[in-house]
Amino acid sequence: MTTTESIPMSRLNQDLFKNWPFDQDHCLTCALCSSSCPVSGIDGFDPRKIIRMVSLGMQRELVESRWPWICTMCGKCEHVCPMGIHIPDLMRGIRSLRDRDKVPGILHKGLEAALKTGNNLGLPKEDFVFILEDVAEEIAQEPGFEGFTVPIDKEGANILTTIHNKLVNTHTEDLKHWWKIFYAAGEDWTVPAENWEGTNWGMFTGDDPAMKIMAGRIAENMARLKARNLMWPE
Amino acid sequence: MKQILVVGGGISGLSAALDLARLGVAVVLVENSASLGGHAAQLSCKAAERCVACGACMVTEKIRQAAGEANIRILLNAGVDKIERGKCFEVTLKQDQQIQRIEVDAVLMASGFAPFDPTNKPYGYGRFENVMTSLELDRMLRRIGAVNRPSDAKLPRNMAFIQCVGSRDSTLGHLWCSKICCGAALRMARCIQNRQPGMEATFFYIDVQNFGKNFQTYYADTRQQVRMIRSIPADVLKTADDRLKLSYFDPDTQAYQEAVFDMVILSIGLTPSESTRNLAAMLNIDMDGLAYARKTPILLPNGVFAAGAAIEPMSIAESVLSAGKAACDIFHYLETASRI
Amino acid sequence: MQATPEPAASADMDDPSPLFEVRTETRISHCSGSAGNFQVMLSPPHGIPPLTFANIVIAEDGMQSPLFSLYGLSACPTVLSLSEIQKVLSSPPASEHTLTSGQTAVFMVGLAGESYPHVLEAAMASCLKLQAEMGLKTMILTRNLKVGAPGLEALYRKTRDAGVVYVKFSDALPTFQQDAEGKVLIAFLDDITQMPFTVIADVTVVDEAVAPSPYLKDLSRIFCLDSDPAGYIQSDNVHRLSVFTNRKGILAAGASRGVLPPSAWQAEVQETVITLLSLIKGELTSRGNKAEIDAGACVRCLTCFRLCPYHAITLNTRPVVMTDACERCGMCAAECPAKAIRIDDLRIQAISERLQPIPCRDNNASFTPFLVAFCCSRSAGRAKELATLSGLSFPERLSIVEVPCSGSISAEYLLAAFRHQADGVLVLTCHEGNCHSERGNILARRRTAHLKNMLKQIGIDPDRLLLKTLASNMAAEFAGTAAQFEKQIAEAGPLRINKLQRQ
Repeated sequence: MTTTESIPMSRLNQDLFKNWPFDQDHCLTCALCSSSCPVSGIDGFDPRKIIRMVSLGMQRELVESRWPWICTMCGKCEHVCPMGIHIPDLMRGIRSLRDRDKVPGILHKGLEAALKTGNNLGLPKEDFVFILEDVAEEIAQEPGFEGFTVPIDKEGANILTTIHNKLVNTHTEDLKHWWKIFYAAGEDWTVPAENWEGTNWGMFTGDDPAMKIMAGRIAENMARLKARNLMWPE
Repeated sequence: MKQILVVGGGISGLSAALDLARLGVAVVLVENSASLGGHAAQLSCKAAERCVACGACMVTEKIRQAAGEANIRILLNAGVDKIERGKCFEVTLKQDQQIQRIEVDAVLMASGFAPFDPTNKPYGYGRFENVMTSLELDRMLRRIGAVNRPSDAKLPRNMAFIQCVGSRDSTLGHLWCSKICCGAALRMARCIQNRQPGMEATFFYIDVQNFGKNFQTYYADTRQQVRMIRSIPADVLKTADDRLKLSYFDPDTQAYQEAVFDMVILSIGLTPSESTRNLAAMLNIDMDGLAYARKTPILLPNGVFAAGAAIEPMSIAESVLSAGKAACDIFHYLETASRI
Repeated sequence: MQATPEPAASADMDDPSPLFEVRTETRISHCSGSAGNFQVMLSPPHGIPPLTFANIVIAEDGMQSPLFSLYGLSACPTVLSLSEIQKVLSSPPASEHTLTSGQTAVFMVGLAGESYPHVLEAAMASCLKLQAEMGLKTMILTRNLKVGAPGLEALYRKTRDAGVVYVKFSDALPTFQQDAEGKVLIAFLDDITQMPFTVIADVTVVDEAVAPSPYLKDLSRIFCLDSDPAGYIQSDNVHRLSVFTNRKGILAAGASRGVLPPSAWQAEVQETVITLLSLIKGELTSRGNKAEIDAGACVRCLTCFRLCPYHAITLNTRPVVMTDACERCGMCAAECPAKAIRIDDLRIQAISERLQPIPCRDNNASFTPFLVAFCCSRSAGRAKELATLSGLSFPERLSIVEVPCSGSISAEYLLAAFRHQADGVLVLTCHEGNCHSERGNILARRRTAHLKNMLKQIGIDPDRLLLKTLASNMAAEFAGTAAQFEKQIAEAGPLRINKLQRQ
């Protein structure tokens, strides 16, 4: 963010974000967060900048800034912060301030698709099932895995698992590793045929209603299929 | 003749004991370790070209004087088992399994501090040999007059000092600054540089606290010799060639940096000691009233006094002053009590 | 200022004499005498005989000078010092100040130079009141946040919760522009966001430099007291802690000896009281033979009078040592050009008796040098004790001659050691700034350097004389120095002093 024009403090209202319950006003500027952040320094990103901008009430700058969108939400900052500031939640809070159509392209498109179709790719049910069964067939051809099938929409399973969209897009091979573990362990598991998406870009984009919908669909699947445990690898 | 109990044979306990013994008060000084002097007696002289008035050498003299003072009875490897309040204090002492009962007119808590244990911090303490606490570094310097790497006994070409470890930390419940660590680390860095020329020191800090008289001049001079970085590192990892890699955000370049050091020193904070907690429990003192982060002045029952780092973090000079205050309070208390 | 200390015990109420007398508008004009018996002349009134006091406590208040000029600001109703704003805030609401809700107040604390915890505390407390109770927007500009005092971390948090904005600076400082109405335009680069900000301060508060009272300069001269670089009448020497000066019987308390936060005042007073009680009881007198001046040999050069760090020498018709104040440092005896001063156990005869060579255990073994170490007892003496307790070993032919202070180690001593066949001579003194007599170690260093030159001239390798400084807790270094020196002298071989022997 480059600005050579001074920001007059009179323009800022420090009470703007006072109600946010993330302890942002307790920052000591110790830089432990900055030191632990995997993306610190990229485009000048430093979590302290965001924290301070929130404390100072710099709403306009926060909404326009690219910085809050660089955060990977890994949470390492919060883990090391001596004041216990909830930094990832703070980032989300700022992300929620943007108009939805100003949310970075790919996140926006992906979320729209997910809300409409149940997954970020907009992948239809038949194609999804086809891909899963195709991978299952390949596994079944390996010695020791004869008879392997992928249980889709099975009722009463012990584990219901979500699927990260990349696993049915560019990284289908990665499905095999844990499916084989399930098989070898004799685990009773299932995958829902619809609303299987594990990522939640409502969480990423600070869109609470969307986040609720996405999470709600997983809960619905759990209830519908009467699964006992949810595995949500994301 | 009035008799008092001093719990703790560190700089505060010794100072107060001497002050009162010289005025004709009998003192029973109880120390739970095998030697007198507490933490101050573990610290090294920090002189570079000249004395920096750290006060560490003061305790040597106090021990000597206390040992030669007729009115002070010293019990080492001893602790307080029980205190009962009657007309005076009935104290049960335990020394190497032997029980002793004494009666005293007043009790002084000079039970010092406990250094913070940084094992759970991501700095590799306890895993990497060349990561040590500031206190351990002080002890090494005092013991051998030099500093070398524990893993291979080589002299360190560069050392990192990480400040505020365990202090200024509300997630740990340590909402205080331990006050003495900035001074200890900077003086130690300069002292080591003086003895082992060529050693490069880097100081990672949040806010530098004052120490000594003439702090401004000393600090300005120190900044020429020690690299000051206003940022606390988040990780310490060991490299393939047995050095230590720190990752930190560099405020000067506004970039993530990694730097490699031969040794990493953690400036650990002060916390209330277990001895203080035990005494508080025995005397029905609310530990919140004694906590370092308390909001009110310390509150103690009649006849019970406190001095030194048992109250809050303080330097050696401040501990002597605190002990003097306690001694005066006790002397006055004993005089008024005798008239009742 | 009080001339008599307030006693710790309460008085017998039947005794009509006052416990203490307060004289205002009074200065000290002269002081003579020594511990237990000071004659002090006050002014006014002039011309009356001096009053006698056993002990003196100097407890002058410090000075605060606002740092307006350092920021290019000038004082006006809206540009105040920290003391002034505190006064304004402590007086009832009806007082005439112009602080109103919605205004911006900016405090500078430790910006031009480093500040103190109690100054930050005053600023934080003021900001808290202004922000939380009076609706102003407050800011604190500082360098290092001095939270190293009880309760300050919690107070800092409280002020942050109330909305006080802090800007911390490392190198680049803000710029200030004061206008005709007393508002100040402050421009700064925020260290954290790296963005430029401006703020127009309706009220600007500047912190004050803390300094000793200028009266201390006079008192230092009148009472012959050492000052530290800032002008306080207690040198930066641990031997003076807590309230001692270089003069027995004269104590420096509070803002006379250094910067004292208000929270430490009570402790300071009580420490002074307890110290006085010990002094009065005679518990703090040093024992041993004191210096004596031989009236017949004294030529009244006044070297001793000028040199004594404790001002324990008074001038009658001749200089006389006041034994109560004498600390046996021996500087006078060592420097007296007429050799008219003696301290019994430090006479050259007494020292020489302690210089008998330690015989070699095994005559066929390689050369083991005979070494003599002159040790200041306070530093090296204690360090040797610690070393022995720690099980460290020393060269078998090392003879240790302990003296109360290295100031007594004269060239005579050193030459005597060589005359007694010492192959190497060590002089071990306190570090500079750590000497109880302030300058004894400096004199020892000077004499040693001078003697090294002389040794060269008489054909003795000057490296056979070595001076090192030590502290009382440096056991390892003492043992290390001795071992290193033994190795060095063993390599140099035995001392040959043919030229001297001819005499």
